[in-house]
Amino acid sequence: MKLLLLLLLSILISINYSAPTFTNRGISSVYSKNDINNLNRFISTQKQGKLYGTDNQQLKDTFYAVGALTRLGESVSDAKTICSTVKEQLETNKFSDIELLYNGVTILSELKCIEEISSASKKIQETLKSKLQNGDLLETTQAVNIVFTLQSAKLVTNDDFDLTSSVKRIVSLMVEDEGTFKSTESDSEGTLLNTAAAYFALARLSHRLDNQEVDKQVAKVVHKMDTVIANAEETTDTLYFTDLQTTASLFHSMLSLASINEKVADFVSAKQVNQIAEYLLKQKNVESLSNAYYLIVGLKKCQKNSVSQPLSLTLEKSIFSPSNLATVDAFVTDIFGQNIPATVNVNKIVSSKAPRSTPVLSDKKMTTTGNKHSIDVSNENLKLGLYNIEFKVVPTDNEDYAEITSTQVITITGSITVDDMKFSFAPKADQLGSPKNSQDVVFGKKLSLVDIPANNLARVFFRINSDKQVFVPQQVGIRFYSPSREIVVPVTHSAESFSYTLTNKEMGKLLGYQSGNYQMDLIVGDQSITPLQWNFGEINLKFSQKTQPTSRYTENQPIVHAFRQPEKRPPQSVSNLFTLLVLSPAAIFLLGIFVVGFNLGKFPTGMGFIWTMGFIASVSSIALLIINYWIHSTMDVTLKRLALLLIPTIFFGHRSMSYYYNKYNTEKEIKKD
Amino acid sequence: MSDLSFTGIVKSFFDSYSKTPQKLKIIDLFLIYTFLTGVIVFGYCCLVGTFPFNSFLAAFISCVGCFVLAACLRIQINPINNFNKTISPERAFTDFLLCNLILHLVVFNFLG
Repeated sequence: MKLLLLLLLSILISINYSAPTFTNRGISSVYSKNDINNLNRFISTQKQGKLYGTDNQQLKDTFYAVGALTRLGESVSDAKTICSTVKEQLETNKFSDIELLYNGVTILSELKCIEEISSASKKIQETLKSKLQNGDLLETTQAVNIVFTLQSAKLVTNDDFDLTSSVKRIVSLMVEDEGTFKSTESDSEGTLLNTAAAYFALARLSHRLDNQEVDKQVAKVVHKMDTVIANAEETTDTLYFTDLQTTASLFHSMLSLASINEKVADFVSAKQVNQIAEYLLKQKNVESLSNAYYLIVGLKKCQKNSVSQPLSLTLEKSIFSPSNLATVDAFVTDIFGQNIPATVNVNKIVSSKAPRSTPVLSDKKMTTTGNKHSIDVSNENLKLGLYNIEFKVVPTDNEDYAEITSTQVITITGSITVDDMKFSFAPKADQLGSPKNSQDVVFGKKLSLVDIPANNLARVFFRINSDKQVFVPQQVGIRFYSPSREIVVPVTHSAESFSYTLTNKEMGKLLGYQSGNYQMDLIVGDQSITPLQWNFGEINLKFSQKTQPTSRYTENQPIVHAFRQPEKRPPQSVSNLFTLLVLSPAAIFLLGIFVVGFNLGKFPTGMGFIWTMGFIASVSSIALLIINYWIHSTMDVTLKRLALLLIPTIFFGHRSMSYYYNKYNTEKEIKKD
Repeated sequence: MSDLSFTGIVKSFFDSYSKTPQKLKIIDLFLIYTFLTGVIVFGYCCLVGTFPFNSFLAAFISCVGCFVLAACLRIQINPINNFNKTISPERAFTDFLLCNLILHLVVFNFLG
């Protein structure tokens, strides 16, 4: 039992000690001169008239544009016009809108023309005092920033404002549980943008006031910083808060607080600074002036802060040919591509295909000439392919910059040759090696047509070299094709050579048993070479099996619709006989009438004749209608016509029957008399 | 004494039938006509085939229907049956025509 407990304890300890530690890999790219030029061009395209940006928020957009340009050390064109226009706008507004005032004062301060509003300092002081006492969080923080800007320009003094109570007001707006700041007391939730504004104002207040009470309040805020950082979204390489504006302003204000409170460094790590730097670099293609401003604010804070300043190691060149491979040169820079003095070691150089294999080179110090760090690899006999080089960068200034371990990939590219190619065929596998059955194929030439008997095996054998050294490409295949069939088979590699053996059965399956001539192409592909496709021969294959269709789907028979089979009909003669038979009773009936006799003498005369003939005509019409229906008409038409015919039929029928009835009664009375 | 031989019976039948009114004889001829037509149609169905069955039905229903209606007409206008007081021969003939019309409306639907 004790042994078991000891074992468990040792496992727990080993887990604890083997927990992964953060390796600072540096940043993968930098914000280069080219990026700065692009941003400069973008900002200049946004100028409309005297100021930047759109009509309704020109002052704000100008604030962003001037802020970005001055932070980059770029000159602002037509600065004097901007100063006078900003002053005019502030005067029009009577210095009452705190946001306009903040934007305007900041622009004037950055363009070094703030004295233009010195005459309005009293009006400005009134607005600032009002906002410091009653404004919401953003208004208060903007007022604080304006106060410090005006103080720097000596337009106001500290004594003019009660800034200590402003600190208390700002801290009172912090949401206790979350550490975020709300706009007013009545709000229930805080926002990250408010938090950024509050952090920055508190950092400036703490720095300027140098007051223990203020420091105590700031410590209270810093204590909750970890819950604010927990709002960040994290990927493998990046860390960000909602969007670029929130990320940059919060990051900037957190690191501003870090310069006055050491505890911030407990919450913001070097890894997080690296991740935020990576996020900012990914946002370098900006589409608005506000994003341009926040991007530069964030990047500048990455370049200079008290927590960690990201470094980048970049190679001067990453693609080499074996003939000109002498040195690999690298530069160590900060996020803006400024060279940083450092010593660089190559930890190891290893093939990218097998990163865990024995390194080609390990633990070698790079020679430093000016800003360039070089390592000679000409004697390392690097073959074609990709190599991972792991650098360890130790900055000279180890207070501002941390050590990084950066891995870069270099590609050694060049041409290849196919050597010792042999094509052989024989009835048995062990006979394939015999020189009798083999034909040599010279690289670049084509073998004449080879007829392979049905029961034979065939083999393609070759080596791939680069500068007379064996090279193993990522992909090697042979393409067999004819006008109707095409396949590509992978070629296996063993003992520094490649070979592919064709069996009749396997080729039959692959080619659908289609006998005939097939062209053969050797295809070689790799990241580090120009792909090779070489038509090296033609073979004739014979298959005894039935050819399979080219379609991958089975062929379906045409659909046959099974219509109802027509009934058997009697011969025409039988039908004719029965027609005569059916009509024969009619003849009997007519003959019978002549035998029985009929008396047309009683046929009515006068009106009775008309009624009777009308009735007979109507009944005959109905008979004709029936025949018409039977031959080609429809029930709908027939019934309509029948309804029409019924009118004269009923009329004439009624009249004729009345006539006969009256006549019958008259005759009866005459007989009685 | 009556003659019970076959010829005697036939002779007696024709003697009695000769006294039948002419109208009834014509109706009897019509009855024979429809009966024979029906028999021939049925014979065709049995000997040759039922196709087209709907046409066979139409023809057979027409024959049977006409036969029944003609028999009814014969009963109504036979003076022995004393229908004269309630139904005149003209009325009976009109009924016959009307019923034939309805019968043949049904027959149409089987013609096809």
